[in-house]
Amino acid sequence: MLDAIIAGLVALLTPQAILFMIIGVIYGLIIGILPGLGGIVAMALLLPFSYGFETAATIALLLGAHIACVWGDSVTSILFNVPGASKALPLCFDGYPMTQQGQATRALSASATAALLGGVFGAFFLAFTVPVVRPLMLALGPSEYLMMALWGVTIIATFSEGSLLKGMASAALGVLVAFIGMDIVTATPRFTFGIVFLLDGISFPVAMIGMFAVAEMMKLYVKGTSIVDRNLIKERSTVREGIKDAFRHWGLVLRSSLLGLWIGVLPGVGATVGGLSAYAQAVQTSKTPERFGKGAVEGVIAPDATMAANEGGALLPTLAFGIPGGESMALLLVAFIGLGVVPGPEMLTKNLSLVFSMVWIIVIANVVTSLIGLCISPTLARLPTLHVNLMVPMVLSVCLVGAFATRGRIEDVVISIVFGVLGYIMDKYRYSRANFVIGMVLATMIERNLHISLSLYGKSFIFTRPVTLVMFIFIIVTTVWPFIRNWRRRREQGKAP
Amino acid sequence: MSRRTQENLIAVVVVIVFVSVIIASLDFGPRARMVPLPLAVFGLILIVAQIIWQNLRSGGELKVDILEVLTKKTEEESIPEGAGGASTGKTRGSRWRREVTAIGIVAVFLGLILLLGPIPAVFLFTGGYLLISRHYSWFKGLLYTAVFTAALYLLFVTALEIQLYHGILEPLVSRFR
Repeated sequence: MLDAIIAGLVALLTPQAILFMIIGVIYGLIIGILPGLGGIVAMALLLPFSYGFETAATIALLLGAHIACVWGDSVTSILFNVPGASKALPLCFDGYPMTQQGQATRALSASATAALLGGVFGAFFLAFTVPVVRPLMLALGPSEYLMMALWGVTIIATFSEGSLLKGMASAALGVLVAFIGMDIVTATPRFTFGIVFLLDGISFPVAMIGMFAVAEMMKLYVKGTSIVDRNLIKERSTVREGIKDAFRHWGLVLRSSLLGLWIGVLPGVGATVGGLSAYAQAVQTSKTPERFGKGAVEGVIAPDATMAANEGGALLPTLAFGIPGGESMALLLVAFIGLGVVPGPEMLTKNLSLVFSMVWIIVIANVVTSLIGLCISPTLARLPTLHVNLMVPMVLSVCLVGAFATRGRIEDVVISIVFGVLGYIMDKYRYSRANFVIGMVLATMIERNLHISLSLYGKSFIFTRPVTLVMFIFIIVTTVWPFIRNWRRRREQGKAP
Repeated sequence: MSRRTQENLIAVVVVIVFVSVIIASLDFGPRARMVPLPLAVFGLILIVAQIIWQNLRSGGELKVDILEVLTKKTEEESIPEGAGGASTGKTRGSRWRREVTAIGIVAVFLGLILLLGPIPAVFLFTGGYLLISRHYSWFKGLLYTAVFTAALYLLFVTALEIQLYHGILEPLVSRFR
């Protein structure tokens, strides 16, 4: 195994591999920052250029771009409340309030450091847990996946944005919006009103661009001042503070990384669920959950660590079984086949050095991304101070062109505007936009796995599957616990003289 | 219009959405409506409870709902609004005007995109916005617009090779070519 670890690193020390890695990382950062475009687009556009070079160099280019996208996606969430991709949504909850409080540099550097730590943890755990994870992975079925999605939903109960009753109604609306289009189980067109375009459903990135980017720009116009008015709020934070924050909350980083790795290992769950679950566990395990949603740095650290670790985890089923852990991994699989690498159990025996090359790529790409991120954080933190008259037309332009670029359909631009107005109204009347989006993300996963679980295990599957039952109890406990703790705290405060 | 009336109007719209979903779901097969139907009923119950609750509270307490009271969870208003009559009629009026203008701005941009396609629309919209806002001189505004549009074109069309939509007016333009 040691030989494979060393051979994996040596393969990456060629000038071509180093150059490709740097190109991939810079390219990934740019794509990540553009709203609507994420790691999948980055890899899809690189794929045609990936043949005819060294295998390790090609994988460094593709994986480097994909990993850099993770942090790139976080940047716009933190600075403008505009998620670069669906998985970066949880970064809006606390990252944006930090920016508004003049702590953008701290938020960005905490995010970059957490991503680095999460990525490195994820890579190392991937390397050393390969033999353990495989049987565990095979033991889980759709009912357990359903429980994971439900755990993501519990964030609604603990999330502090807006009122809870309206928040739950928003989540229900989000789930129903996700059902627009062809039903994946019965192939029934639902809520399409005979419009052919709607058969494909509402694109999630497009809805998010509208709900957050367009609505935020409308808010900014109504407010009439920049996101951060430096005359009123000075940028008080430093890169060092952000780095310290990530290391100070090492326990949270470790927990979030393990969660990310685990979610990555499960095919089809995805980093979006991972990020939301990480945020939920950060709130649920915090001693001061009331700070979340108002600029708590832990709310930035947890999702970033999870998303970074997720990439390592998602590689495992891709390599070991040829089952892609997500859409990006499916593209990587295509690249592997083009390079003559056949994924499957043999990857963990005959091609182990290539597996370790990938582990090293994850580590190095995360280090390079985070170093660049830390260097540019103070400059990026100045962007929210741009005048509203410059910000509104430019951000709107990038977002609407981005909405079009998502699927190349003009109807998506209309959808993003509709969601923009909806997002503005929801924000004004305190119907949580975040809950709406969470509902939208998890809807399909919940419905699909519920149908499969009912078909496979019957109506009482929760009680007949021990792992499902344990997960179900865990969800109830972690959801109810913060309320009990708050109630006890208030009672103690009431008793205090 | 008072805050309570606005809140009630929005809640009624949400009620209509849930009721429409329930009616539409009844046409689907049992499996296709298994999740949407109960969910819409659940949503309807929540929002009806919210309507009852918000009409039992005083105007100043409108930001509180029944679950907030049960959990003692509170949050400040995301957009400060005249909940308890804090804002004057004048500022409220000017806010309404700005809100309508904001919707108008995005509608105009959408119209331009549909008519001309994204890149010419970006040029016209950004240029127009910078000129009308008079934040920059016309020369600076035009320069920023040109550089920004060129950057967007290079990024999306040249680098990312995205085939852009050419707009409804494209056939008309090609006739004059």
